[in-house]
Amino acid sequence: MLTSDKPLQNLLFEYRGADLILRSHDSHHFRVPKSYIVNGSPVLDELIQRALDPPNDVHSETSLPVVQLPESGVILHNLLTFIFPVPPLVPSTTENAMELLFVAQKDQMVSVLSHIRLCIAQQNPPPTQLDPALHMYSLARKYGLHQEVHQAAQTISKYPMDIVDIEDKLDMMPGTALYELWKYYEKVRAFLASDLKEFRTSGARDILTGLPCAASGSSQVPRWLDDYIESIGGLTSSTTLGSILPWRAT
Amino acid sequence: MRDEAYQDSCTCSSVSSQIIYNIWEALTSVVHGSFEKVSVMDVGEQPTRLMSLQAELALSPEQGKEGSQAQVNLTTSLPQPLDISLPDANLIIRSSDLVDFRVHKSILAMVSPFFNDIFSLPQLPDSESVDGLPLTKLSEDAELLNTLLSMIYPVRVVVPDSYEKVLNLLAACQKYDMAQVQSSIRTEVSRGCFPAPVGTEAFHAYAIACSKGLIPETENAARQTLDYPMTFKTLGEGLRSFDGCALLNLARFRKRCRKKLVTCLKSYHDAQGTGPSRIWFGCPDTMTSPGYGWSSRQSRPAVLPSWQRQVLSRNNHSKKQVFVDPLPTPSNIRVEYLKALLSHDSCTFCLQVHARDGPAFCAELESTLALALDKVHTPSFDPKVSENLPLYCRYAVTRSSPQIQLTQVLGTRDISSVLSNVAYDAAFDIIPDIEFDAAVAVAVASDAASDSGNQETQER
Repeated sequence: MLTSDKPLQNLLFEYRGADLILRSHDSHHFRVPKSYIVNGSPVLDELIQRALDPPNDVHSETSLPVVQLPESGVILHNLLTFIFPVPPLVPSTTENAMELLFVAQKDQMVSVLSHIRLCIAQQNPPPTQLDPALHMYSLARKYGLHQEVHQAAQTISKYPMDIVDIEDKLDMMPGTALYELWKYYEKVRAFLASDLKEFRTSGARDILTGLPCAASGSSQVPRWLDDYIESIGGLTSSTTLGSILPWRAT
Repeated sequence: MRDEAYQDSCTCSSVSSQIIYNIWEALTSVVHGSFEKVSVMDVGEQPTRLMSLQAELALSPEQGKEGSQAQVNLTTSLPQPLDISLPDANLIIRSSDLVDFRVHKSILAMVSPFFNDIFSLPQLPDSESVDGLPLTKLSEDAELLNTLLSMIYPVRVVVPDSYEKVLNLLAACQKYDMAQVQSSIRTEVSRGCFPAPVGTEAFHAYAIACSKGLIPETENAARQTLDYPMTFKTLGEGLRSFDGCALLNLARFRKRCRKKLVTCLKSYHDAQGTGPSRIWFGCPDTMTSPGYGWSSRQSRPAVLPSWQRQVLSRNNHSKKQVFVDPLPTPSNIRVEYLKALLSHDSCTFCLQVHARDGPAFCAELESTLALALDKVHTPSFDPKVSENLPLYCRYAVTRSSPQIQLTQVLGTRDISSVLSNVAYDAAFDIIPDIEFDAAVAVAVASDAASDSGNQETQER
């Protein structure tokens, strides 16, 4: 796997059997075999069909038909590395990674999208700190990437979240996004409190039934454990959960 | 003792690692389950390129034209009393929801220099007309235009039913350069005849006013928010209205206000027997307070009673309080004072001082706090803030001599002139082919701002 730090002009696709040119909005040309593209994306398939229909003037510059795409050359290049049998090129910044995912999602490239997600996860594990998680959330939301939005929101939920806690980042996303994040945050905390209460009252799901602890409370859970669970469940929005939650790496 | 007994008798230390592992796994599963139960709602779906293509086809020019013609409704019922079929009308204005209003050019030109300018331009030969009358399309909806026209014509004024509609009305006035009408609306709000923001609605009002460039309303709403905690919970659904830097700016405004207010209260608190707080010196409760000196003038300890210290040190304990608690403002300080005094109602000395000097003390405190707050403004109020440069650009480009106008605006800090900048937006709505080179305008604005700054430095 490569990162996309190399100059674009050295990485442009120049397939010998190319029968189509994809042109980025910043006028980079990619000579590609059409079959790869149309098989990978029903959306691009339709776009190409429309572009190839007469009387569109797509042959003006070269002998190959040209299809104009709204993406930048960098993003298009990254995308093509996931379509063609070449080492995939993962964008080096979160901005570009999200944009790449967005393009793949927009063009309904289901398998390519999974491939990109896998490569991104391998190269850049999901953020665990608040700032990068907020950044990722705002970008993912902007691009309508549910999975990344959810992932970032989960991380954010482990940190205190109110205006006082994220004051310097308040301009990172529009109010609507912030509101949804806040609602998510409140719901998660509410579910957590209620589920942990149930866990305690059920004797930790009977795992501890019969444990000869002299200091068990009414929940039949040893006090040390009961106190710990209660401390997680009774947390307020000003508490950082990250350091005390039992958490399985995803 | 209890803990020791617990440790002695508890056998948990001998619990097998397998059980500990099982507990941990079960707990982890509960936590994960809780997180997985919730999904982030309403994540904006981005249209796929396919959908864009379909939308593109659906909006072909022919279909759009037919659709709009079919929907024109000349008789949509609107709140009385505006008669949309005024005799002698010589212009039709069409709302965004396709309601036509027959109006008089002369009336519009009288209240709006913007329309006056527009009407002075020669009419294009292919301009649209209805029943032989020229048609002007506006981006406001019928309800808003109806209210606006009711304020221009000598008819009963249609009162907007929410403050948000008042803000929309003010924004329209700003856009069309109707300064007099805008001023009348503001008067109606201050008289209580038009709705005003109530309680925490101020947050929503701030966001809307900010987005529409309504500087006085932004300022007023921002000040009103100081009486409430600024948390996500307080903002509630109003949080959705915030865009760009509005929330960050409000948070910073609040912090600056807090600094001023706390400093102001501190001056009362720290006055060593000379400030207005001296009337409270002598409370019997303070006679035994250690650590304070004696005032040479009054032979009484220059110590404030604890209830008074509580009032004057509000929001001074932790920086977090700036958002979590209301700030001590002129509008709430008297209530806080009375509450604190009630907690001290067994003290005859303080009650007597209150009966004699309390109201005057509160009035002075309110006035001092108000003066302190007057020195703090939201960023939208400051014409030097770079965010406002595009406004200057617009203002400059709408006029024939951009550089002169721009220098005037920046040089004189004439806020009222800046307010009318949005008229340029309106010009775009009506005369789409107006020439505008954004890059040139920004460069001109930057140069002017820079010149202005250099001049100030030289003067110093």
